[in-house]
Amino acid sequence: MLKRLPLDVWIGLVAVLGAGIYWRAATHISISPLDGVINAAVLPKMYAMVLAGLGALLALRALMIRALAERAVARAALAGQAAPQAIAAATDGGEKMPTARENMRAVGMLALGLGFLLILPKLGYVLSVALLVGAVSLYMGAKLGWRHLAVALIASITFYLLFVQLLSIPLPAGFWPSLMR
Amino acid sequence: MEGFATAWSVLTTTPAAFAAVAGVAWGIVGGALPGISPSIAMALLLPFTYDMEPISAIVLLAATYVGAEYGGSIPAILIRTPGTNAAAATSIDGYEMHKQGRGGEALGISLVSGVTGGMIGLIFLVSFTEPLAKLALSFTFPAYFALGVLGLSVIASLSSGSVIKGLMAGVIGLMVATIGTDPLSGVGRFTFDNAELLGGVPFILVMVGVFAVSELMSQAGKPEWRKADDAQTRIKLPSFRNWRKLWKSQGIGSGIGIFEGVMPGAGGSIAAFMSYNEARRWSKEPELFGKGSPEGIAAPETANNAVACTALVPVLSFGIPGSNSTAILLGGLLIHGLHPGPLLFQQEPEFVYGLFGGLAVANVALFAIGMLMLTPAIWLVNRPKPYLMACILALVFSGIYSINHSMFDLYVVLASGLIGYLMRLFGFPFLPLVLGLVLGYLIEANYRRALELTGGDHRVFWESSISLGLLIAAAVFILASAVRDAQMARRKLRAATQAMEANAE
Amino acid sequence: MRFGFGKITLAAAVAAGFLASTNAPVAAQEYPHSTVTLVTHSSPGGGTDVFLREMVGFLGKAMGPTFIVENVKGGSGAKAMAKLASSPTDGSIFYGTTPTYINTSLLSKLDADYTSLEGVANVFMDPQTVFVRADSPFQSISDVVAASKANPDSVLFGVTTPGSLDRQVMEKFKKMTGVTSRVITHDGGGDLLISVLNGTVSAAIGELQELSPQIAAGEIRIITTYTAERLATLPDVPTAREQGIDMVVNKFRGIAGPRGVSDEIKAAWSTGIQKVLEDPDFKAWYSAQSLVPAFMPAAEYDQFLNDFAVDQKAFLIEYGIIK
Repeated sequence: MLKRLPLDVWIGLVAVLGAGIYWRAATHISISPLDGVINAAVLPKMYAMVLAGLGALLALRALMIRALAERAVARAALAGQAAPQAIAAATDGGEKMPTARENMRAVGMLALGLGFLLILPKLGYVLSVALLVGAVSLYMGAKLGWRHLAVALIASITFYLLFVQLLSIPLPAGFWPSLMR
Repeated sequence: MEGFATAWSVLTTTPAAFAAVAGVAWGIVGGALPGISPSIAMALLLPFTYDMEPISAIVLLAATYVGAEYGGSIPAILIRTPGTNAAAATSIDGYEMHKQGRGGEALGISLVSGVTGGMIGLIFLVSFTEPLAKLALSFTFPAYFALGVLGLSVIASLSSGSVIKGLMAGVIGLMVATIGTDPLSGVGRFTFDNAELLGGVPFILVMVGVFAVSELMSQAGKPEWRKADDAQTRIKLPSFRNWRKLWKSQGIGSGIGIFEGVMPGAGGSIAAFMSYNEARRWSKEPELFGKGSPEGIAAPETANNAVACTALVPVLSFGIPGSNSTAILLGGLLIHGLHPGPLLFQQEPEFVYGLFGGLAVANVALFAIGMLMLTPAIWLVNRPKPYLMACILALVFSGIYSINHSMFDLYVVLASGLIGYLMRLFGFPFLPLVLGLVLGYLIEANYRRALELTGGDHRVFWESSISLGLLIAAAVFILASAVRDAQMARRKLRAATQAMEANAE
Repeated sequence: MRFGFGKITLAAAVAAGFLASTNAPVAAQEYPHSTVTLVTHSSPGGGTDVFLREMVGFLGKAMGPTFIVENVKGGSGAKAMAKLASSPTDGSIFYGTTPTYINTSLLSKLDADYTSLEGVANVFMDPQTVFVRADSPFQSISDVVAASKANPDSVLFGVTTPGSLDRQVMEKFKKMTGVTSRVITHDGGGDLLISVLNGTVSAAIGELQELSPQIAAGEIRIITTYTAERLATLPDVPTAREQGIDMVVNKFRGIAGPRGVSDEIKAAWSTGIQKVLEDPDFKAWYSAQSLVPAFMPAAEYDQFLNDFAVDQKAFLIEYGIIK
């Protein structure tokens, strides 16, 4: 645990990097003669500086806590004792992190959503929603079967009636209208 | 008193009371669908009002607004997806309560608070229209800026360890708020020549992504929900004892809601978040906020329903709508040949008091219809989880598409979901991000406009007494929380060293 | 008593609804859609928004379909243009034009700009006016110029959004008169009105249409109009031209569609708009608002919009705002 750089150092560095990118983009904001005393780029640049400062602070703070903890561990070792578990845990904020598998499953959910967005304009709303509901419910542990298919079908028809018919939202129709011609 | 008589006679001789009930019912349904904002729900009704008499038409629209402001809290609590912008604050504690199996109780609190806020807002609307109109006029650029700063100041009071991360999230929110057309010069900022970004990133997209989509992702990895059968499957109204515990947050909510409703620059979501902040600041149990605090539901829900009433002040007295919803209402007024403005009260008293009467009916109806509608809503969210989650995702996409009919927005929601998940992963709080995003435009535009008034002289911020007062309040709050944090850190450090020394010996 | 009245009014409403619905199918045969969306970039309650919302009731009667006004705010019209450009040209969606969308196209680089749209019909010319709070010492724009010359900091001008016509009118005015006072932009006409009412800005540019309730109530005064002649409704208010500022500004208000709308649809709009302008109720409304009816059919209007764009571009280049 103590060998790696603390996570917060990385987060702080990423924040500094992000602030730099944002600052660079802010320098490209054109300054119009119609601008007032404070031009359009002033506040964005201020925000970038604050974020970079906070990122650096976060990284430094994490390193400092690490140093303190290492000293404590060293002292404990000197006294011939095992490093107290609590100190090691405290250096990473004590938050329980999801496992790699949980993160992968979360990304999988995101991928299903992305897939829906990709097929929506092509396959049309009704079919895409049916596929989305079918796929996500399978992913979440529903059993494939009549019940599963019925839910996907009923859900997509209900959504269609609600959004397209009742609320007249022009959700993408997909290729279907071209078949009618 | 004459007003009451007028209102009564209007209600008894026209179908306005019926319109109020119908409007509330439709509003709750519309508000409960994410993406169908109060203004869309009202706009959908507008064509049906052409042939109605003016009073019924306007009562119908106003009642829809009242219903929708409440309806937004239902999905906020049950599926962590705010149905309306103003219900976003409710999703924080409402959903936590639902996860703990207290969804019915959360819905009960939200309903009672909504009705309370609506009634108090209505009383202020009826009795203090003129002073409230003056209040709206007294807010100038420096005051709006100071209001925004006060709203942001709560970030500093976020609990232990994560203060730096909280501030970072807040700044990122402010950064996202700068995307779009510059409010003063009209140049594009961070738009990368993408027209979709010219209008900025709508706050509701980020909210839904960060809250709802990241929750779905998290659920995919690690199901945290209780089983349906041991959760509450019925709505539960707060008992008198519990209700008394909520009076303070409801008071804060109605106060802020009344106040921000009349400001054309503020609006429902800012009111909801600010009252959430203040309720937390003044609560006896601030540590419960974010972990399922009933007060965290009561305050924003009272506020957004109070806004729905007092937002009529600038519309009726100046003809200036403060939000999309009141603008639709204004459109309804104009279509029926009513020209709101300073003379409306003298020229059309029957209409004005009839509208007030209709709103009273609407708020009563809100309670009754709310009770009726919650049962099916609760039934729906207690379906088997795989199907429920699949339908939530489909609902989120359909609703978000409804806002701008834009595929781009759906990608923004998905990206926000990823960001929200990463924030969870790395221990960043959501609230500061959302606050920065909600308040960013208000703060920046009014900061720059205020300095434009004086040609760059910062004294403008303390020369206006309202702005001075708000800024002092913000400074006091920041200092107080800094002192508290320092004390807490010192106590922790002392405890840690003692423990270490005890170990070392 | 109570039920009697309720029933009569309900019956009347039902009857009115029935009449409307029996009329609708006949007209709907002429127009291929039952619902037509009119997009405006104007924030709700702003000039274009109010005009469209007022007009849609009459348009529905004249043309058949139900008209819906949709506020697509953002980017001073850029977002609305983008929406229009990607919308079908089948006559189901149109744009309420004002000079703003052309200015926005010129001021920023957009995928969808004014050339993605084409004029379908013009409806009004809308006189621009200078207004102040009722208790203001200014009686005309000359007073404002004099005060500003004496002390530029004593006067603050208010305009609506950055891309709006009034923003540019103000620059032109400053250049012509040599005035250097600061100009404050707002989020829209409503916010600007508040700034005038609470005394934040000393003079602002606005349209009579938005201001009429406040004028009637005696809260604000019009001190000058940017018109060729004095307005019939305001015979005592001098024009800018009379005071040696040779500017005539007309904010046009009309309808544009995505480029490629069919001639049949354009013709339907042409007759529809003419019919609406003749409607006595609508006439009563727009005369009271000092809107000047100025119908132009599609071909003429499209040419007019292009000419306007060319003029504006020349102005922007001359003032160093664009290259």
